[in-house]
Amino acid sequence: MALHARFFDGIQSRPRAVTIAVSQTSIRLSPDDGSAPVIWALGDVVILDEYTRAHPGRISCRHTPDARVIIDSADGWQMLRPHLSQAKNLGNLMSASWGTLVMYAVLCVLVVFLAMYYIPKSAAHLEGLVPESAARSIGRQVIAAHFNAPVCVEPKGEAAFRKLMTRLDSGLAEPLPPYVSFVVKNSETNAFAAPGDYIIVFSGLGDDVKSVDELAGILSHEMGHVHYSHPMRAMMRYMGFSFLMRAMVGDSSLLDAAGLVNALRFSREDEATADDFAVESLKRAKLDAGRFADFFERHDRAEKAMIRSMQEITTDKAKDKSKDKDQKDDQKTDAADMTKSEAEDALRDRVPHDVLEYLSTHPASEARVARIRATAGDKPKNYTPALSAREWADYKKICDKTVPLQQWLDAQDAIRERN
Amino acid sequence: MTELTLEQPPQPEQKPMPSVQQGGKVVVKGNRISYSGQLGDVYKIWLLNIFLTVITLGIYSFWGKTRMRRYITGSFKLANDNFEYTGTGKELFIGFLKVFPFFLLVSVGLQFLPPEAIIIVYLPIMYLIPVAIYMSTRYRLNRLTWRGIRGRLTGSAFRYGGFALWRMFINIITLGILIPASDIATYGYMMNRAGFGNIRAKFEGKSAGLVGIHIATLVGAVVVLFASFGLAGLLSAGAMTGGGAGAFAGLGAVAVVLGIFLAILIRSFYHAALQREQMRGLTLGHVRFKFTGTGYDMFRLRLGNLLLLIFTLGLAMPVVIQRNMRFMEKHVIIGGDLESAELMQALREQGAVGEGLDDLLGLDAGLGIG
Repeated sequence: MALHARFFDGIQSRPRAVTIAVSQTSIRLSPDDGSAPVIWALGDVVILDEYTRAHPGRISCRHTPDARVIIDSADGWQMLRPHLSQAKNLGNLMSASWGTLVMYAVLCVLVVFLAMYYIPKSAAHLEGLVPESAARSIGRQVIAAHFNAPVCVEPKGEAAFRKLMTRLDSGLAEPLPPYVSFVVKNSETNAFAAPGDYIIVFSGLGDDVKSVDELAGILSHEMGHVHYSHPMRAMMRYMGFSFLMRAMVGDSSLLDAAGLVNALRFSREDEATADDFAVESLKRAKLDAGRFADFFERHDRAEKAMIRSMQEITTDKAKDKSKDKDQKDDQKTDAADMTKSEAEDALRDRVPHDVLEYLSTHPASEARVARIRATAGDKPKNYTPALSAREWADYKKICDKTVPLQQWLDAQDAIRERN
Repeated sequence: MTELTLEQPPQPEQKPMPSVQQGGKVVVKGNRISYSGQLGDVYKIWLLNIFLTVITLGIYSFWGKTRMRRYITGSFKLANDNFEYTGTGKELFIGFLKVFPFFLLVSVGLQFLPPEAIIIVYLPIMYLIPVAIYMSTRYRLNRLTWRGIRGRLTGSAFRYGGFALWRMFINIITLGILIPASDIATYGYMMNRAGFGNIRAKFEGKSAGLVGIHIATLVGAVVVLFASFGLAGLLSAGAMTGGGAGAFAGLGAVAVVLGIFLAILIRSFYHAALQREQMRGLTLGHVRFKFTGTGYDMFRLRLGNLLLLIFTLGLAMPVVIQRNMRFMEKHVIIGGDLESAELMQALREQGAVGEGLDDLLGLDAGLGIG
């Protein structure tokens, strides 16, 4: 058989018309201009492009990778193709049919679910590999990004805060790694443990709690997070997830946009472990652990009140609408007509904003309260308050004097370095 | 440089006529590049790449990128012959592996450095960006063939990095006024070291004609950016004093993003003028180039692409790829007698390290083809 093609030798760009002759072991390219023929062993032929209407068929040779034979006609390709069964085929770019794509899509969803479950979970176990200095640096970045407020340092208030922390330390079964605790000027009801063994208390928490024992419970709970390295584990989980997103889709900006604080949110198991830690520590420190439950009970009630309010607002609104519509006498009432944002706006008027804030990071529930109460037991017989009434009053004025956060953290880092 | 006039280009199957001298001006036959890529095929490759990349936790992306480049580059035809991308996924993967430890080291090191020392890390990164662009352009030119002849780029990527960093510094201290001069100088630096086969490219573009459009679009872009950031600031101030912090912050973010998009769109007029000058000043032996796209053409292309990506949440990416390729097909003309241009093969250069750097720095240095 013989067919005509164009040949580029890979040295010059000038095309040469060739006649192709195929034997059992090789193809012979005989230039029409009479120059020396080129012979390629069939085993060395590489198919670069299968012939399609859009593309000519193109072949090359393993030993002269720049050389090209271009077969422009469908008939020519049909004649040649059966002889190229041994050739390495790089031309199957479009082998994926829509059916194959669907199969890959299903497989893809499965892999995503498995990876999203296992990789962040496994990453959390790598927490121990992070050096202390790196953890501290990460912690400072998190604090600067999300809790950037002046640190409260009024001397008497700070003395009261330190006394409270020392009392809580006395109840620990084993000492915590050197941690740094401080109060920042922020009216929200919240407290956080951050990577690098930082405990950050918002000044609003002191105004919200009903007794120093409630505050002691919350601080003990945060110490529990530090004890179990929950912040670093959460961070590693986040990093594992972020790595996964980057690897899979080349970007994790959506995740970053969701915010590190959300990423640092602990799992329910972490919260329960920290609660147990707090109750045991409070008991050993001869403090009233039951008051810790009071705090959550109050917030649980607030949450329920919030839900009731939402229902009432929705019903009121529905009634109003119904009244209006009755007047028009031609439309139906729809109780679920109120939008979610309308309900949230209305709620904000009835429920203090800081309660919502606290609940978003520390979910209160009846089960949680019951669990704490069950382990807390009665008030210890040899109970002595963590702070005197005077000291408690001093604590509430801790933000009368403040220093910039970075300056305060630098000073604390220097102290930690010395120790 | 002699003024270039291009006659109406012939269809790809027509052979270009030899150059003719007319009253001091060179009149050459124009050759259109044609693009035959199909949207369905691009979608198939794109989806397959996404699925396989996810399934292999990212490893496949190098092979995926190669698959797309091969298809797109191979769909361009000049004078009846297709271009070809001969790079492989393995090369890209090895390039990435070579560079990855360095970046791992830098990102871990960043955690230990005090904030004031971060400039020590960012300065080398600013330097490495143009280095990566140069290396990646070299790799991609080297893997681009037409009629069996490869493109090439010689010279040191590190010297180019130094030169580009210097121009960046000049741009900053002149408040951006010398950006056209820098753009032309860095492009010229690269193109004067590029070539196809044995023929070296030569670039003699001038920045003088770009200054007016540059200043006008720069001022426009800066005004828009200031306005959007100002609006975002006002909204966040409103969030502090009033309620609905989330809604205000959200609106502020939207204002900033819209401002950035609008600034990019305004700059299209400069970018089109720059591209016209880049092509006008470029010669490859007797072969000349012309870009016919206007600022408005580029503005429409970018606006359309942006809207497509936003309203489909990125699912229209293959449509955007097709639009970009069709834009190039429509607006790039290659002038000269390609049949008589006797290209000879030059030596091959190895390695895809620059591509690895490119990947990690999040760059995509386009050659224009593929």
